[in-house]
Amino acid sequence: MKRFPRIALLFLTLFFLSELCLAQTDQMKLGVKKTVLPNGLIVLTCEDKTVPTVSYMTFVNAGSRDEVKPGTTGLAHVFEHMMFRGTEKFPSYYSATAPFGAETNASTGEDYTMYYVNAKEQFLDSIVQIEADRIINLPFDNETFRTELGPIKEERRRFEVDDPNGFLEGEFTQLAYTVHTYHHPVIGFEEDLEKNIQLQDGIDFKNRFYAPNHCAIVIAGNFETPVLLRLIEKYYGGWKKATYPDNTISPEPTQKKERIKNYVWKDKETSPKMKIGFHSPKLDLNNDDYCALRLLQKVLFLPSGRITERLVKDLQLVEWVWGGVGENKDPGMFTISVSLKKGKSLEEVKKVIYEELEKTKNQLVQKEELEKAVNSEKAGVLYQLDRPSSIAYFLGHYQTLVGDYEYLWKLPERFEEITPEMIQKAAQDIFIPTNRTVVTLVPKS
Amino acid sequence: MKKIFIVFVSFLLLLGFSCAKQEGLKLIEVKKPTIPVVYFACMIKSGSAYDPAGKEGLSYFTAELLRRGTKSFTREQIDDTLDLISGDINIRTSREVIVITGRTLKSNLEKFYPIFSEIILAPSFPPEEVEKLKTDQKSAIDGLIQDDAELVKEGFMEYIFQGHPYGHSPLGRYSTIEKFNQEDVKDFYAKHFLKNNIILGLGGDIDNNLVAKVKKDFSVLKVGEVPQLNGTITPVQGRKVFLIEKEGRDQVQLRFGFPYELKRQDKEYFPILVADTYFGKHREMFGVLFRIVRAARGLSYGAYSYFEEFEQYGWSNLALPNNPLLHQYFSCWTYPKKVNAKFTIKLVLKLLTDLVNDGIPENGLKQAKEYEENHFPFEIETPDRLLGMKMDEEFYGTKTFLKDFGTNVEKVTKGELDAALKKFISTDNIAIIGVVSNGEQFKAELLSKRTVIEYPTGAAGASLQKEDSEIMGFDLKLKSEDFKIVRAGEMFK
Repeated sequence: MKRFPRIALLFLTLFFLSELCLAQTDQMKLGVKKTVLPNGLIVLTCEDKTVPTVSYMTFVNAGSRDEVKPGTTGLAHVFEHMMFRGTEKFPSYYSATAPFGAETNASTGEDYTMYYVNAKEQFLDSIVQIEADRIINLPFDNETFRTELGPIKEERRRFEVDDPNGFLEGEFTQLAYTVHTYHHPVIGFEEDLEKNIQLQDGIDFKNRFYAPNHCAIVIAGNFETPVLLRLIEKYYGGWKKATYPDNTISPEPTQKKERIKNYVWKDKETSPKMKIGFHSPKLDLNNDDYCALRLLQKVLFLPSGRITERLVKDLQLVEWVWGGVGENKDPGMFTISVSLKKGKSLEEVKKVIYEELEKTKNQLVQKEELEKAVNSEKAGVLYQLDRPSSIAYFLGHYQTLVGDYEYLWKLPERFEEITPEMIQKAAQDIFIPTNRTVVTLVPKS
Repeated sequence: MKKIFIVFVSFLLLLGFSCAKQEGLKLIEVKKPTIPVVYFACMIKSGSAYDPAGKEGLSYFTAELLRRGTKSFTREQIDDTLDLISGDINIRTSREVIVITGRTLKSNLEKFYPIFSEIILAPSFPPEEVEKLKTDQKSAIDGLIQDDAELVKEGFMEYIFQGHPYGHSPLGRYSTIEKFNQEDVKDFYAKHFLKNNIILGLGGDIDNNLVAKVKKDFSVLKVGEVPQLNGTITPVQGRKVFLIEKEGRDQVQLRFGFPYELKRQDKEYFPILVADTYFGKHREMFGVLFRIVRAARGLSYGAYSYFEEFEQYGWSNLALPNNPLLHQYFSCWTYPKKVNAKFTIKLVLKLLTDLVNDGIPENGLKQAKEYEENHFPFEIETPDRLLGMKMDEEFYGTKTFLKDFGTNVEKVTKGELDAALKKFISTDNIAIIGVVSNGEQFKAELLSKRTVIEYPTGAAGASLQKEDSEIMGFDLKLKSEDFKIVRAGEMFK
């Protein structure tokens, strides 16, 4: 029997969802199998026999959001780096994985940390062994830890200290969040990296979060699920659950007054920049405002979107503009980031943006605008599902953020139900001056 | 290992691709219908190296104008339609080529294809957009200057290819952009958008009807005399330093390297490819540079080498396809903090010198070859990548590059690799480019006898001190006249 790629089924599901296709929807959903080991480790598998590779991802349910202890900002990201420094069994992670021709890397965000290995399917057995070993047996000694802080500080210099966009992003979150841990940058504050983080902080963080009941393993590509699960059981089965109580993360109180901060950048070459944001709901497909804002971002910022049309094409005031609402565990921000053309006025750009936001509060969006937005949201995911690594990523992303990997197709389905009236209401709820945070940056004169 | 490779060759062949020529038109087809998406690509073999003298930036300007209006569609209609059907069209200009890529859901092909084809076959170059684009292109230069990593790469390219048509950015100069007019664009289009100067690509869920239609539609392009590239590349003589000044840098972006005439057809191509994988494969952690500069000493977040032109493909460690260069270069890239910049320069030069002098260790050769052979599936993992790689084969005239990749890697011997390094790589003739706060001050530091290293607090540096004292003694052999310093803002005037 000819095998039908899972990805094609997903396309059919999302683009031609109808009674005729319901059987295919079920097939697609059954294609992803969720298993929970007795120690709490979640395993998601998605087989695709049409490819020669596998993608193996480990999601640790801890990001910078979980750095609640003062002085430990950046610790989740430090762990990401430490995970590549070898174990007793595999002293060099690179030497162990290089012969596989594997793509290996990781990323840390506010809400989780993710590690991946993409390789030819024949190496899967070894990969399971290496990945299990490093997450279970990762050593955490002071000298290695301090050495790894070197590149982390250079990473910070590269993307925040010498980069005006990164700098502005960091200043923005610090101003917008007063209590919640989204306040601090993922990479951490310099003083914490330099002197405040102690070895014991790292050990505590590891014991609390690098535990099976805080992790999900996601595998997509060419493998047999029963065989794989036996391997997972073999290598992860003895991993002990963490018994720490959950972190207490203070919710961000309602913002009562607009917050504004203006900066002068350290060189003359930078063009003026601005970031505007409004506190908004967390990722939740049952929250009408959240889903409506996802579509509103397309109405405003697609190439034919309202703000793009005016700022980029008609008035030519900006180099680029982009915005929207993120996918977060806790309430996030609807943000608008803009880089102006040299010599253009921040006030003029701000005026245009505010005018367009007001319009969304006062008028319904057009049917065609909504259609574009829904199509774009669907295609945005679907175009990326052309390889096992993308599929594994999205499944793990939603499993870790909301505990439901099915968000991958539930969200696009939900967007179909959003009406112009719901978008208008979301705009009215969110785009309120007292809920606004603005940071600007101008070049040194 | 051979068995593994045969499996991949078979996998490639199953995908089915071919190259058809019709009165000079080259069309690459990659049928890979795993998802109902159609991919288009068009490579015009006339990038910024073909800009007329005094009109630097014209190829980029022409390319960008393509999607700002055609015979049947205005810019607004193009954006509206593409947004409605969630189709993409992207245009990129490099030194050798203009590349127009597109993708659409197959169900939207009828709306997408007329736009994609008209952009190439019937652009209207609206006068109002000519004026608007001048502002946008100058703004794109501003954007390049703001990104230190981009700036050091561009500074490196302009420095090592100075005097050659590769010696200016595809974005051109502020002063030349200002003078462009619609006639310049029409003239460039007429001279370069020729049937015999284009490689077309179709990939993904394509069928014979689409292929036939594309062949027929693009046959309206004229056949003409393909402009030839003139100019001589001057090798770097000795060690040279080009410093680009931007205030307030806490970190120094560094690029080292030189132009060389390494061709895909050369017997040394695969030995150098394997050597580069061993020494500094992009975003891989097993490379010598990464292990010694970053992992052991914590000097930089990244330390990599490149044996040919490289732009990162998305978030991966892969090279962007459809980005060919006929004249290549070797380079290393790293970015330490200011105080460690001089030491890092010495360290990288010493590591490269050691590699050339001592050759590759057997275990390093084995590991690098295994990596490349097993990594190959990712090079052709998606329809757009495979299409781009096949088009690059056509561009370079190496029709079996992908098919023979594994065999050619496997065949590399230590003797061949070590000889290739000695033939192509020299740290005695190398350009060092840096983005620094104060050029004169940095020059004085490089010319001084003092070299320092500052390890991260509490790091493993103590155990390396003996080794690092030796590196500090590495003679940069620089003289005052080897330096050139320019303000970032002046580079593109």
